Amino acid sequence: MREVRTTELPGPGRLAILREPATAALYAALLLSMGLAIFMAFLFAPAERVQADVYRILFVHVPSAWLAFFAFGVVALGSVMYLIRGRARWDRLALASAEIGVLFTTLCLVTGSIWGRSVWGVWWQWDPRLTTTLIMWFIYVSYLALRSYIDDPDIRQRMASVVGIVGVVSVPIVWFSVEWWRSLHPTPSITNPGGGMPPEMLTALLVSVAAFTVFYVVLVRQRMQLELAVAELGILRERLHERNEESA
Amino acid sequence: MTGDLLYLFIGFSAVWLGIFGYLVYVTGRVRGVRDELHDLKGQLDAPQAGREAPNH
Repeated sequence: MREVRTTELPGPGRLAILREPATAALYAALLLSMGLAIFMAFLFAPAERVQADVYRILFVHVPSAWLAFFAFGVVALGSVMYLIRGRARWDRLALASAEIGVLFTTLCLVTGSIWGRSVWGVWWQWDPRLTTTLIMWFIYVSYLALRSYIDDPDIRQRMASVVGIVGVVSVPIVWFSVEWWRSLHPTPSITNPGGGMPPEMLTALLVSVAAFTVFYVVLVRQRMQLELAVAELGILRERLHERNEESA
Repeated sequence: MTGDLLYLFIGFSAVWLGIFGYLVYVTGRVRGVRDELHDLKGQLDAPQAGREAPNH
């Protein structure tokens, strides 16, 4: 009979989760980095010459896009490792990262749309970057849908791993779309030398990216913990059911 | 200018609501599942009805 490792979960109590040193440290890092990111986005970075203040959406739009790419890279890594090692924790990592990647892709599309409405005058354009990002979003929503439709855990994990590995191809397509096709979207201004971004803006943007990355770690950790708890719940229910059948 | 600030406000609000909403949702679910786990563990640890009865 499989051992139930409920000790990995925090004990009872509303704020019990903060009693774990690692979690408390993560949350402290999150608060500090987010506070600094907001300060730098609004008070440190200067207003832009043409767009004035609305360009500050950049400080949430770019980190959302970066985390979407990063999250889907982690999905591929978790999927490969699951297929090689067969350990459920890699599959849990892939699932958690896919869900959070979809969240950040959604936020990237929403903030991009709001920014586009302000700058281009339209909410949406069938521009290569926007269109490929939307396709990437559909790929990972399908990944999550696939997982919820397959009951057998082994088949579910294997099929999801294959989709998780194939789906990551969409990331470089989104990244290079502005160079491969004519696009309204600007080309990368951080990785290209002489991108033209003033140092204050660049620093604020990098701090914001770092703060959002800490947020990603917090979210993935929490989501993996949930998946582990759900798996343990299934085992306990099975054991209780078996015991009730024995005594009947 | 005011319109621009409104877009900025909507953009930041959408991101914060999205991320914190998700965190609150997942944390709430973890708490719910954890409580259920404690209940089930309690049920499994409790002696079974009739099992302790002496055999004659």
